[in-house]
Parts: sequence; structure tokens; C-alpha cells
Amino acid sequence: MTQHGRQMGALLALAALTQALPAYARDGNFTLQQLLAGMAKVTAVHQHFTETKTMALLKAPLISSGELAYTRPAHIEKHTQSPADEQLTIDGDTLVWDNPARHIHRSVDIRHHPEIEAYVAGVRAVLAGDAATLSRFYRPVLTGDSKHWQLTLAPIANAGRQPLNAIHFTGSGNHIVRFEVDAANGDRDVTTLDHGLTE
Amino acid sequence: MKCRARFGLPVWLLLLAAAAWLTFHHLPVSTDLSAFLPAATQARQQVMMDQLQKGVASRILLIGLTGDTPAHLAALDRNLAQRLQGDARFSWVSNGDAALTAADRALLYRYRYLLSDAVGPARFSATALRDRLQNSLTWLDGPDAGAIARQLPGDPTGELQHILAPLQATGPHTYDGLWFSPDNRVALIMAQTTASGFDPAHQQAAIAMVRSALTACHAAPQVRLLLTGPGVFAAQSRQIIERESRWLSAVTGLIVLMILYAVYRSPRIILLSYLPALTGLVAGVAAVRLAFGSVHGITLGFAAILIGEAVDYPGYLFTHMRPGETAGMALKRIRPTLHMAILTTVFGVAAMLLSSFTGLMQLGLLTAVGVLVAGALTQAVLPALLPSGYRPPAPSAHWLNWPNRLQRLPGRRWLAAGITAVAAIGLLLAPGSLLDDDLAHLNPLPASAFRLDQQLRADLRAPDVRYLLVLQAPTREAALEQSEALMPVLNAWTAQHLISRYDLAARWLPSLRTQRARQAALPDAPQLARNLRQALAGLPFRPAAFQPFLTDVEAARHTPPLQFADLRGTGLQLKVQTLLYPARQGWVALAPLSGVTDPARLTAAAQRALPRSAWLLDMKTESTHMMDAYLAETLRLTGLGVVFIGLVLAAGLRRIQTVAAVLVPVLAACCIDAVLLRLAGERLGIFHLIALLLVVGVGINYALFFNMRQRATGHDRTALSLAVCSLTALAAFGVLACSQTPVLHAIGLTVSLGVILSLLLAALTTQPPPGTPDP
Repeated sequence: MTQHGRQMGALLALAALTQALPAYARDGNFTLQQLLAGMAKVTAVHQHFTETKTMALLKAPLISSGELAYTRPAHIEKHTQSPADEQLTIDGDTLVWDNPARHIHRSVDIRHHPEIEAYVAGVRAVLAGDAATLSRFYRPVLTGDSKHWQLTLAPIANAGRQPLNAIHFTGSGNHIVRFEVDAANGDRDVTTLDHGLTE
Repeated sequence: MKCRARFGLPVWLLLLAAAAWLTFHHLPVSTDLSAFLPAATQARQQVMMDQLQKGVASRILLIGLTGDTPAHLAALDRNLAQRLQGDARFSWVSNGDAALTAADRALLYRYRYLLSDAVGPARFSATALRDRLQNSLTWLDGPDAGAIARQLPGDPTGELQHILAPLQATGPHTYDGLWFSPDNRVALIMAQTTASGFDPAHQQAAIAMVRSALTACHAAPQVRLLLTGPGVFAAQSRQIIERESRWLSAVTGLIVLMILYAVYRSPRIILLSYLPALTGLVAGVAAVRLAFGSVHGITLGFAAILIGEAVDYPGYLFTHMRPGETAGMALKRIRPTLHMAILTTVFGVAAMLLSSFTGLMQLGLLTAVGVLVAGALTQAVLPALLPSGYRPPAPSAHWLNWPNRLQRLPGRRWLAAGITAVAAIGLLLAPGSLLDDDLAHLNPLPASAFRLDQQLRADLRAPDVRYLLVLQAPTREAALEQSEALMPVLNAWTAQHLISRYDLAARWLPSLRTQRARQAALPDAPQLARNLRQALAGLPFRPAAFQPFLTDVEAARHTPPLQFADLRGTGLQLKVQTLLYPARQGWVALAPLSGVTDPARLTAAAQRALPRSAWLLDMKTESTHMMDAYLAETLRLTGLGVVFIGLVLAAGLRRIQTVAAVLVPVLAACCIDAVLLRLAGERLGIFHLIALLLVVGVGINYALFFNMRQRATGHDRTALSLAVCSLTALAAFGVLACSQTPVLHAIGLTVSLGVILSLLLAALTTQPPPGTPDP
């Protein structure tokens, strides 16, 4: 289930990409507060993504690409175009997974899936600039400056029991350029994001 | 008389000392409510009573937290659940975080190839493995990818998931991964106590643990704790019973004291009035202890009855004394009537001794012994203790003389007959069943407690076991094998939506035969490796990743089968224990059936499909049947009690007309009593019937004394005497009627109504004494 969060996380990047806030350009101590305040101003984004999943189970990584879209406050869409057409939509607490070629249409209430719920809540908190919700699930650590920052989210042991070690974001201003999920079993999921398509 | 008193005093003191020792020396007071549940006579009733007292459902404690934001409640919920999980008073605690503990999962995972009913020769063929792996591959880019990547290397065929599927079919609503009410206002925790739900002392300890754990969590002050479940009911009942028997006795005593002071105006006489009753009570408790080893709390509550009833006897004596007369002279006059009064009561309650309810037998014994001792004491000891210059209260001007005035009412007999006739017609024409056969109505708790219980249960989809499939077999293995044979039937019922799900011990502990068959179906290591290689050909999986699968299957082929002992320390131990347990003969396996929507169709299906050793048990219907049987028994006992009373009267009075004159008003009073109770919305249960028997016993005293008066001459003191006696009885039973404990309430209401009606009818129907002019 958590793996789903990886896709979600990619959306963060989108959110960050479109608008670089001049406020962040100032040097000095770049705080989480400042980062989240910037994120909160992003209302809608739409980007290309490339995702690389490296699993101990597979001989070669799984690579997929497509488009990601986010609309405040709680709508996320991931449209995978390669290797196959697939649509993943999260709206509020509902996740819908559509793969017409494989006859998959699943709708789940994320509140029934603690792993993914904790994850989505964390991601949404970053997108919404909601530090309180973020710190309910994760211990966020921000390094670097506003032009080149790294945000690491380490799950709070008790809160979600996600079998993941950490989520690393790399970004600039209020856009994210790279996003990596490290699973506890050593599997890795790296998503890179290019320029926004629309705003 | 003097001689009798000289003997009486030391005998009484000795008796009192012995009884007091028995009563006060570490008296074991039981509060186990099952003493007031009927004893089971048939195998299926035994299963039902076992379930009621010790079953899965009976040990569930539902905990709700409310009054704060869902996020705060969730944090508190986790904290509280963690504290409870480590406590020995709970066999398991779950808040939805993980319905199975890590130990449970580990055990199920370890034995997955012996537990999964999907295991068979076809399951591990190259084709089957390839299908599974290919399917899994497609899920690796979906939202479940992480979980699948963790599961595949060791369990590519998904046996654990298959085993857990029935558990995950329907779950409660969750918030933040925890069980919540659908509106997110109540965080829910389900706990199972180690103690039986009918063990109030241990249940109380478990509840105290929950409260102290919540305090230790530093919950916000506005957070409210909701607790329910059979155990909570038992503990609350115990508290209510303890509290009530204490304050009811105190209030009764006080009211009777006030009445007695108003009548006698002498502290010494009042003290003497209590003496026989208190001695009788102590002797009664001692007798119950000797006979049963312990005394039930509800039986002690009967103390309130005894005080009102036995205070009558000194009352009869004191109020019948004429000015200048000694107690001995008055006693001589009333002795035959007093004897009859005592004996009718003793025989009336003696019918209770034949009951199948331990609690009722105790009540019968305590009352019979208490009344007998109090009566004997009144005659043997009281006269000697009365002050020599005692002047009894003057009757004529007394405000308590109302029965005399009643006796002068014109057309009073027609009035009595009319009321009785209306009551009798009402009784015959009353719609619906007059009798109450719901076992649940024996519970002393208010309706709000049951509403809370229903709400939390519905939110949690907690087992509210009503339908059970019961199976009996000579050994545990046989029970498991027969359970497995029933699984296709149960699966068919699930498919037909006759039930939504079921549980069975064999699911968690398959029979040895089945486990061995599954082991035999597993391919050996070279074969499995070959199959896997073939299956993986052309797939992007790294073959080495599946080494755990190969190792585990090979281990499963040689592992000793899962035994009951292996379950120790896991939640599964408890699950299996409650679903499979040794009975008086052989073993009983249970399958609780959930989601029964059409009981008639289910019953029909059960009749068609079940072997002789298995049957469908509807707890509700079965308990109703049991209640019906015991109501019938109680009716017989009540009838027998009346017959006993009739025989005592016949032996004492010798004239059939006199017996009728005594008995008819009382029986008429009972009839009216029943109609009034019905009008008040009461359904007559066992305790109402027993109370009516007490009405007969008490009411007959009144009629006896009214009749005695006909033969007496000179001053008439009977009206005063009976008014005092009925008033004290009314006080005692009226207080009892205010009780929340159904037993005490039923008896109190019935008797207080009956006492007044008996006196009214006796006054209306008997001849006024000679010499009193009839206006």
C-alpha cells in the first residue's frame, strides 16, 4: 500500500515546480515554516514525471512515466502513459485505480488503510503547508537553502507503522525536482519531475 | 407461660449466638447472577448457559472514548490500548490498529501451508505458480506494490492472505487506522477479559484497570469513557445489588420504626418488635449458609421483606393486649390464629425450596426459617421481656382504625364481589401474553445501559452471538474433523447469503488428518524448484529472491503438525478455546454465525444439511423455551404453595366455610393485584408469581385475624392490629418496589399492592364482630 505514496509524493514535486517565490531567495536560515508557507500558495500544478522502482524481487527496475496533476486542497491525479495506460486518482479520502486494459477498477477508502492514509496525510500536509498534520506522522528535517533544499520525512514509529525508512525530497524554491522513497526492505522508488505543463 | 418464657430466653440466646456466628463470621456473599439463572437440564441448554456465562460474547468488553476531536481521541485510544494489552486481566485488546497481534501473524505465517485450505497438489504446479506470479507482477505498479513486494518472496501463492480473508471480510469503520463510530465521534476498543462475564468481582477489577489506565494516559477532562459488555453489566449489577440491599434495608427499617413509634410511643416496645425479626433474619442467613455454603446478595436483599413480615408477629401480640391484661393472657387468646398465620406463611414460601433456581431456593429457606424463628420467639420470649405495667395503645379513637369503618360500609360484599369479577374478566381478556419469558429481564440494569451496548456493538460489528452451530464429538480430533466436514455446508450458506460469515476452531487448528494431507500435497524440494524455474522463465523476477518460499515449503513438509499447545500465548489460543472445549461428554465445537437475515430459511437449511451430531442453536429461542419451562414450574410451585396453605387452614380451622372465608378474599386480592400490575405495564415473571405466593401468605394472616374476631368478645383490637401490620408490610415492600433490581422491584410492587388489597377485601367480606352494630 505505501508504495502508492510514492506516486503521491511525486505530486509534491509538481506542486513545487511552478512557482518560485522570491521570498525564498533570501539567504540565511531557510526554515520548514518558510518552505511550507511557500507550498501553501500553490493552487494547481500539472507536470511530467519519470518513476524508477528498484526492487530486490526484480531483475531490472520498473520504469514508468506520465503526467501528474494536483489541485488544492485534496485532489491528486497520476496518469501513467508508459508502459501502459493507467489512471490513479485521489480525491479526499477516496483512491480510485483504473487500468482498463487489465480490467482493474478499484476504489478504496484510504482511511481503511493506515499505511497509505498516514502517507497521503503527510504529503497533503506538505502541499497544504500544514505543519501540524505533517508532524503527526513524520519527523521532518530540512537542510540546505531556499535554492537547493532537501526535506527528509522519517515516519514516527508509532503513527503509521509504514514499512519505509524515509522519504527524501529535493527541491528549489517551492518546487520539487526529485523525490525518493526508501522502503525498509531496501527497495527504492525514485521519481523525477520536469517542467510544468500548465499552471 | 412463665415456665415457657424461662426456658425460651436461654434457648433463644444460645440460638442467636450460634446463628450470629454463622452469619457474621466470614459470610461468603455471592453476587454471581447465574444463581438466578435457571439450571440447564439438556445438552443444548448446557451449551447455551456455558455460552452465556463463559462464551466469547460474554467476555467482551467494549470501550468507547468520546468528547474530543477525532485526532486527540485516536492518540488517546492508542495509548490506552497499549496499556491494556500488557495486562493479565485481558486476553486480548484490539483497537483496529492490527486486529491480529504480531505473534498471531507470525504463527499463522509459520504454519501457512498447513492452515490454508487452498493447499493441494495443483497449487504448486509450474502452471499454477506462473499464473500467480504473472498476476502479482501486474500489481507491482499499483498502490499495493509495497505490500506485494514484501509478501512475494516467501509466500508467492498468497496462503497467508487466503487464511486471513475471512477475518477481513467486514470490518468496523476506521479513522487514522483505528476503529471509530461512523461519525468519528467515538473511538472504539474491543477487549476480551480473561474472567467470565458473570464473574462480577473480576469484571470489576478489569473495569477498574481500564479507568486507571485512562487516568494514566492523562486524558483531557472532557473525554468521556463509555464501557459496556456483559462483564460491565455483571459488575454494575453487583454494585446495584450491593448498594440496594444496603439502603433498602436501612430505609425500610427507618420507615417501620417511624410507624411503630407512632403506634406504641415506647422505645422499649419498638425494640422488642424488632427482636423476633432480627433473630429470624440471623437464623435464616445461618440456615442458608449451612445449606448452600454462601448467601446470594439478592437473598440478603430479602432481609427487607423479613423485617416487614416478621415485625407483624409482635405487633399482633402487643396490639391485641387489653388494658390490665398481661402479654401471656393476650397470647393465649390469639395463639391458635398466630400459629396458623406463621404456618401458612412458612408453607407458602416453602414451595420456593422446590425451585430449580438456587437463588429462589435460598430466598425460600431464608424466609421460612426466619418467619418460623420469629414466630417462635414472639411466643416463647417476648412475654417475659415486656414491662409489667405496659399499657397498649387505645384502639377506638385511633387513626389506624380504618378497617372497622370499612366493615360498616353498606353493600360492602357486593362491592368486593364486583371488583373481583371485573379483575377476573380483565385477567382473562388481557391481550397478549401475561407472562414474561425474556431471560434478559432478570437483569437489574436500566434500559440506557442496553442502548449504549447496542450502539457500540453495531459500530464495532462485535459478535452478538445469537445463532450458533453446535457440534458434539467424542474427542477433540473428532470434533475438528467433523467441523471440517461442515465447512462446505457453511461455505454454501455464506454463498447463499443465509449467513454473512462464520468462525470455526478448525480454521485455526485443522485436524491432524487434514494437516497431514496438506503436507503430503506439498511437492518435495527438487520438484518445487523445477516448477518454480519453469514458472519464472521469461518473467522479470530474480529467481534467487524466492529462496524463502522454497525453504519454507520444504520445512512445512517435515514440521510436526500444529497442535493446540503451539497456540499458547497467542490470541488464537483463546479463539480456539472458546470455539472448541470439553463438555460433560466429549467435546463441543461451535460455529458462531453472523448476519443471519432469514432465520426460518436458515433453520430449514440446517435441518436438511446437518448430521445428527450437529445442530443449530438459537440462543434467544432456546432461552425463551427455558424461561417458559421455568415459568410453568413456578406456576406449579405457586399452586402447590396455595394447596399447602389450604391444608394448613383446613387442619387448623376444621370448617370448610371458615377456610373459604379466609382463602377467598386473599385469592381475589391476588387476582386484582395481577390485573393492576398488568395495567401498570408489568409483564408477570417468575418473581411476580413468587411474590403473589407471599401475598397469599401475608394476606391470609389478615383474614385469619378478622375471622378470629368473630369469635372474640369485648373490646375489639383487631382492626388496629391489622392496620399496624399492613402498614409496616406496605412500608417494607413499598420501598422494595422502588428498587432497580427487577427481582426486588417485582416482589415489592406485587406484595405492597397485594397487602393493601388483601386487607381491603378481608375487611369488606368478613362479618363485623358481634356487639358492633351494623348501621
